[in-house]
Amino acid sequence: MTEEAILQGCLKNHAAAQKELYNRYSPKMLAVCYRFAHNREDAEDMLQEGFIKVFLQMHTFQGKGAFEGWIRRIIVHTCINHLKKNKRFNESVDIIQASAIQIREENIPSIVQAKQIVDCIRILPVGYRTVLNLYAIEGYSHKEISGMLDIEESTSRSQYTRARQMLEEILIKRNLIPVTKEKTDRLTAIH
Amino acid sequence: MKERFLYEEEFEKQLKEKADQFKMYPSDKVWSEVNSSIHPRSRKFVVGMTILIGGILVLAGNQLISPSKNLSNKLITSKVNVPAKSAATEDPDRSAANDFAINPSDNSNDQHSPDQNQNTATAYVFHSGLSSDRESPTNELLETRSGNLQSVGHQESAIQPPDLKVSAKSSAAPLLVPELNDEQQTQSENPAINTASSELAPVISSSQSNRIQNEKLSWQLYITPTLNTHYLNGISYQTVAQSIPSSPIMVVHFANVNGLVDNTPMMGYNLGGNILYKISKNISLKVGLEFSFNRYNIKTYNSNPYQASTRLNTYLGYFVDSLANSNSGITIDKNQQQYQNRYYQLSLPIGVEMKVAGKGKLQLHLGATLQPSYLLNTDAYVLSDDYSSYIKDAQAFRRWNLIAGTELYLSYSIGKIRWEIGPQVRYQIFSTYRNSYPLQENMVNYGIRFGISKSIR
Repeated sequence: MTEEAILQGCLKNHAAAQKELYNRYSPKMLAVCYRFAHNREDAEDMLQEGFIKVFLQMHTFQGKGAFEGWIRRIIVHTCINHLKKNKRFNESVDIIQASAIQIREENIPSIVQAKQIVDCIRILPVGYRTVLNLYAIEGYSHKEISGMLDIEESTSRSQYTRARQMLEEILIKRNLIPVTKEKTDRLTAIH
Repeated sequence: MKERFLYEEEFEKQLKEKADQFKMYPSDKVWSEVNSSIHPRSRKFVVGMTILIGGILVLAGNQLISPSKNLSNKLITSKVNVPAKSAATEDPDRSAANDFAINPSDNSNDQHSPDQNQNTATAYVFHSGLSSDRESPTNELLETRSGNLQSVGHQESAIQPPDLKVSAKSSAAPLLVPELNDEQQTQSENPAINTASSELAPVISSSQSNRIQNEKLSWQLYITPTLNTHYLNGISYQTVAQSIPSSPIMVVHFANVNGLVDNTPMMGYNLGGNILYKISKNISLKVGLEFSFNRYNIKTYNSNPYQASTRLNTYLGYFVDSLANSNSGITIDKNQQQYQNRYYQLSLPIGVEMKVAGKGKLQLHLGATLQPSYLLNTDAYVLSDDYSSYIKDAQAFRRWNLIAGTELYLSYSIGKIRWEIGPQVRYQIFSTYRNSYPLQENMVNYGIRFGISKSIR
């Protein structure tokens, strides 16, 4: 079934088209939810809520841009609302101003599995994780993030900087990225 | 997101790539929740059906378990010159029965006026209460009051039809309408009762007509153990050839698909209830609800997953450029496997029933129904369109269907219940699969129906 046929079917509220749409995008979208969520159960709740919104708001899709991107935005917003509702996000957002830590770019070896990266992201505190997910993976700007999370733009930047630093350290600890001399010196200085 | 155009850092790019590669598969529960949220109608349908079948069962249970309540629907009492209080003292049961009486009386003063009580025969109709074992007290009461009745008889001129009143505040003796009819001989021997009967005639005849009206309705419960068979239809070679002459033939199956698969019938059952409405002496309309469980066995062999391939070939030189599947390279497990296809359906039988023969206890009936049906499960196996394997594909199934049913049964009346037995055939008119699926499957059930029916009074 083509994407156009699925869209038309969904607009007519055809169950078969809706199921096809769900089958096609739910694995990717559950992975998105899982990066934001506390556990798999929460992720499935987010996915369920998100897909209900997708089907109910299908008529608002203008056809501008990729359909997957449209679904993804709904899912991401659902995840954020879910976190806000459960107060998980607010509790752990640290108000830390951007520090002047210079982080050199690290390359993630291609052999590293996607699941390993996601597992590392999920270790981060929920505030860091949310900002990192939104900025680095979902592609939102700090301005947009500040609006979504009701925080200052500068807070979003600082959160992201800390999140990235922490993720880098986790990746190094798990031997998923190579340790450079500069990094070793810095880590030694910290500890 | 304009800011993101500047976003070209390698780490983020790689992080995004890796994260996007990750996929997870949600549990089935998620889709079922999503589906039920966006299609609340199916939930309403289940609730509606539950209420309907529940209603039929409650009605049937009520009739079966406590028939006495229904028998007493048309109780008639006669009260002649008996003050309410004294009658209540005589028989507390009767006063209890009064609580359920209908009171259309328009003048309560009549009951308290001694003069009027002496000259008026008042009939009371009860709609509740007494079991058939009260026949004797009723008769006794009629006899003991014969003197009073006779006195009323002497004052016939004083009794006018408007004086025959229906009252709730009565404590007089109840009289069952059926017993009045059955015991006409007894009454004929007793002039007093005859007198009372003649006075009560308008009420009795009204009651009888109500009963006849009510007897137009009856309920029916049945269970049918069935043998479930099914017929498969594949793509007809002839059809393809005729529709596109001199063109490449895509799928060619010369053998009947029923001969290619090994399916064996199995036992299932239908369970249902109907409400029947008699439109003439011999013909009734009926509507109800039926649950059916159908299944059949599939014998097959396990094989390793393979990629189906197709190639152009010629078939006996007649048709060039036709396509055929190649199954080479498949390893097949020698041990035969057996799977079961199960279908759960709810249907709404709407039809006609006709009494073909018999007048008394033994009768022969013929019935036919059309049943809009709803398939409750879609997890059965579907034969692939190249007839080579079975798959599970919920999308292939048609939820709504239409079933034609017919039955011929003997019924024998024991007491108030009519027992029924006879053959029943059900044929599923549309394919189990959607039109878009190239295969068609039509279920046929043969069964012996066991049922009971009873008039609603």
